[in-house]
Amino acid sequence: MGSLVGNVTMDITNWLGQMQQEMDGCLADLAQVSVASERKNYADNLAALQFGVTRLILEHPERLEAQAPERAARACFLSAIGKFISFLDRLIASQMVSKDGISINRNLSIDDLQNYVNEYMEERIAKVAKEKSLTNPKKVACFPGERR
Amino acid sequence: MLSGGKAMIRDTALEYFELRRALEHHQDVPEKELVVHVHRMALVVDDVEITALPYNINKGQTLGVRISREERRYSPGVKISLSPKDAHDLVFTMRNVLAPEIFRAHIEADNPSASAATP
Repeated sequence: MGSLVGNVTMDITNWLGQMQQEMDGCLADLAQVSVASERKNYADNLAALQFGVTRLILEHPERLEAQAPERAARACFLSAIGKFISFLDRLIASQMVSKDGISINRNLSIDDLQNYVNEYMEERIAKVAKEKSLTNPKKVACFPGERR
Repeated sequence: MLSGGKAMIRDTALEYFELRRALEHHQDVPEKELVVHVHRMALVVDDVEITALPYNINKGQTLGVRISREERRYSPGVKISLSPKDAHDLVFTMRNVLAPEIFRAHIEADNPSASAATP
């Protein structure tokens, strides 16, 4: 059992594409608000939003409309940079796994191996994300050619 | 690879973290002057940017795309106000410049021979 090794893949090539898609989502949401505001139908859209039989009722939608593009721009940037930081977390976790290897703490069948690797990777990513000493500037410094 | 532009990538990312910090933790007000660089894509005709449509292009002229690096400055103590265009330029830079360059450096460090195959 211990000598059997199956085929395990750790495909990091789609991480960049995933992050870019998520950022596209941030931009798409920003575009919705910006266009609605430009076309002066932001307040009408608010009035049209319904959840089942419940309708969204907000006071002074015209005031909300005035600030909507700026609010959406701020939210867009903060959401996108959050995704960028998560992307760095993934890469840093991958660096650690490349350096340290994956420790196997239980017997695994070949069928279990891929799931184990995936779970291990997700745990490492979460650990990097939660590591308070690893500030965002330090995360950038983790990459080759970067200042530590 | 980050070589050559590596300091630019690093410094730009650090600028973005400073901007985020001001927005998230200091009620949108930076404590010190923030200089944030963005990459902006523009359509150009003979190196002159098209800023409004419709635009007449004459025979013999050349239409192209230019990506320029520009800076945005935010004064200390002054509330930061991001426009949709600002946000677009910031996200464009993270999406198309910072992240791909960092990813490329990461791949090359892991496997130098793979550098030719990275996106």
